[in-house]
Amino acid sequence: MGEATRAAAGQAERGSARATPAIRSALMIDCGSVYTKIALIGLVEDRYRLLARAQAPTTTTPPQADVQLGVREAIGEIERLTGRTLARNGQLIIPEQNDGAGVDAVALATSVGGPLRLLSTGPGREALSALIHRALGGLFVQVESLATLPPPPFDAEGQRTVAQTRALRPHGILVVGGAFGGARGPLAIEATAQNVARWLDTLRESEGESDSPNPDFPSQASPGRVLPVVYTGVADDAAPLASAVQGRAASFQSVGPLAPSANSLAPLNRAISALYDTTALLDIPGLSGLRSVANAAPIASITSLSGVVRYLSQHYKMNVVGVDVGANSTALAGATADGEFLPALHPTAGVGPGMGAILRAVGAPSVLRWMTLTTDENELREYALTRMLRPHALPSTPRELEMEYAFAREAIRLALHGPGSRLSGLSPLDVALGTGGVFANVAHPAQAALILLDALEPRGITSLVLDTAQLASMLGAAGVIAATAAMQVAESDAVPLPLGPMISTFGAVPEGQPAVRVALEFADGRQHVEDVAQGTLARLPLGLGERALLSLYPAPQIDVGLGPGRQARASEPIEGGALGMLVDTRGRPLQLPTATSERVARLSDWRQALGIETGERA
Amino acid sequence: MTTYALDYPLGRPVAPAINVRRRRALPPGATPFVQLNEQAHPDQVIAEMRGPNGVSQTRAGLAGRVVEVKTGHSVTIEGVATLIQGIVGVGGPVVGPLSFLPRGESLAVVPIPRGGIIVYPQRASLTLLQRAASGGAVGVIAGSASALELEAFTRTDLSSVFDGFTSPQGRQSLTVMLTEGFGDQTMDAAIFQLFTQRAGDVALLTGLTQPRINLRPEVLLPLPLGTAPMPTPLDNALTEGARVSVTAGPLRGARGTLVYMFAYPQISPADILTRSALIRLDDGSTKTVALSALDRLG
Repeated sequence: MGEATRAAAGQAERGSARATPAIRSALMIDCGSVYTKIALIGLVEDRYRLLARAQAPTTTTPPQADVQLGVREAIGEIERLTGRTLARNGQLIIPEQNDGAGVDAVALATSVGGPLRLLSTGPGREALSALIHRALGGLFVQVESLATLPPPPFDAEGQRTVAQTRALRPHGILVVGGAFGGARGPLAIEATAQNVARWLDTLRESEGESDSPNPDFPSQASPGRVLPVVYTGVADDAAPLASAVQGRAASFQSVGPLAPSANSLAPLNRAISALYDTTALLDIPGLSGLRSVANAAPIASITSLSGVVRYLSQHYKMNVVGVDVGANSTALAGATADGEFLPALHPTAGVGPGMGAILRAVGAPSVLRWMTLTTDENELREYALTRMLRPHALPSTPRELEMEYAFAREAIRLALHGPGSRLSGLSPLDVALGTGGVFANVAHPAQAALILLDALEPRGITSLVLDTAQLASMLGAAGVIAATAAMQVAESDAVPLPLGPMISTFGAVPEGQPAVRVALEFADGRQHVEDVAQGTLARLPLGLGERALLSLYPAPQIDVGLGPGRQARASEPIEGGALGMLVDTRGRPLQLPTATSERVARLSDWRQALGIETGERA
Repeated sequence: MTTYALDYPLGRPVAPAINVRRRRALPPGATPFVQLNEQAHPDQVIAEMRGPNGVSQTRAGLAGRVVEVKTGHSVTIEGVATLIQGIVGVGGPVVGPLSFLPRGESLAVVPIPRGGIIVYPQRASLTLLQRAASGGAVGVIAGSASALELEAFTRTDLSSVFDGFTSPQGRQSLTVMLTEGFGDQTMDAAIFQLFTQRAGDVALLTGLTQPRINLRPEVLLPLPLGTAPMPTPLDNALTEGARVSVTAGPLRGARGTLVYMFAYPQISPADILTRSALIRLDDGSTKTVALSALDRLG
């Protein structure tokens, strides 16, 4: 069992999961940072299926500062769609009644309120950073370094450091003890303890409360917090740290030192998972009301997605990556056929308010390179800033939609290549599952395929799948309370739109020369043979659900996943998807021409090859 | 089923008369001139600090009762005011009379009202912002501005400001509020009319903008003592009959009445399915608009 699954199970235990006898129906709720998604699942001929889904804006700030209002709106939409009564007088009907009203169970996933923001410090922080990322994999956590703070009074530099740290609105401090004892010693941990104590005192001062010009809205102030401290390391070093933070920290928890084995990573995973539940979720108005009807404690959406991806990878014995581009964060959850879990998260980059973080991280030119419509930096910045100011906005013109997709590509790439990610080297990537609003609302499924290809740059043969019902980020939470139901819905409804198999070659021959000959042999004896030139995208005629035997004959310098020039012939037929079968000979890493006209022409060609209209209707 | 317009903390961009409390920060060492429960008027000096560079005064900006005095730190006043929220702003609280520039004069030479808050219903250019700052105005309320020009003026990455990582107000003397946002948008005629009716009145303008913590720019227009406040938040439900404005897309800036909520998602001009409503615009035409692109006005 991987960290994510353990975290989910651990949260369920802490959340005093209620015994759920035979569950006939369940409501899955995913409170996203901008939109709340709800799905009703139930038994249909002895199998659990998706019955209906709906979404409504998440309501966590004035004038509707109660997350339950958005949930009620989405529930009302499901009632309207299904004709089934789920709530009376604003209260969910639990359990399901004889007349079919109500549901037996409620599962809750959330990314609202953002990640658990941890400040990390300690003698082992640098040396053990890879292990920290592994231990926290699958959790909705943002880890930032805690600066060294001199004793007050602070000079201008110190004040700036304090202001920047406050702006992060941290939830806790993570102290990482020395690696394997080498860097530990009384001096190292005592210096860390002093620094942590100083920070706890500084952050506790209610700077926000006293400076806010507008006391009418408490949420506008950022009052000082008494932060909890989690320590991972040898027991000997825990004592001086505990002594230093006593009376200053909200709590102090010590877990064992980090080591590469999964067992040694689990305690920190559980401790931080609990911290998310008790601190990050604490500020969300109305969440307690949802907790009271949920069968288990809420889990983070990425944790939920991770559970589903792990299940799919084990069930189909394949390497699977789930991609969820949210408004405020981007989560990638990878799992290999042999059970390795490879999460990658960018906690602040997304296609809503998270666009600001993308611009700061990669700069406007990196986003603009994906645009075919003439767009200058000012227009891009205005769009991104407006999305920060109006979180619920959606693209309203083709140009804005193209900007949205450009940001989505960069968000995925940021998460994929971010600190601690081991996902970028995953090969082969058998299945790429796109979920979340960007993929669910695409104007053309080829847009989703292109976003996944451009951002993930898979090699070899990959199946692209869209979770158009946006179930993946809920099903992990549902699995905690009703595992069978979650598994059956994952198999039947979470992968409802196969886009088709994708062949991605790497290596290069001169532009325009054949990179690979693709042969499809159909059951009725028909054959389709096509030479795909280097630097292109091709869409082959393999209809949705149609099966054919695939043979690949690459040029000597071209690799289709088996080695340069090695031919491949599938032993089993492959199945076509909504886009037929795709071949990507653009090479790896994907490089776009630097000259604008050439780049736009190339992007337009690729889109047209997949059937996407270009120009103002792109 | 009800859905809401959620971009304004009070429910709508304009609240004609609401009860507000505002904390007026004092410079370190300033001496407060008001006492608890005292009635303050907007132009009243509530604190003063004498330093090597002269006298620095803090004015109330708001008509109301002093509800808290923290010597050397802040004075909090509670009163009834007209509140107009902008969509974006920069800069801390400033107090000054609402002022208008003479029509037809070049921005390069137009006289700037020293100490005033300039109401400019069009797109504010970098030239206007620079001239307003150098000419001694304390604030500009404009319809819109270019993002790059506003960033050039503040010398700040606004995305960093909105996320709370940078604060530009310490570096600039001019507070700016845009009622319609970025781009090239004229100020809503009703809001501009409201400003013109209050020309010369002392107002309290704040440009602080941090959407993640629901901090939005605002201008407070004081009302006479004894004015009865309206209950808040104002109704922001997007229902049939509601007066709305379009905030994005080809119809951005248009006003109208919501006449029908579609039961099923509609295809937007961006070619995506989204929940939508039929709007009868003020020009008499009817258009389908995504709910996510609507503000409730009345």
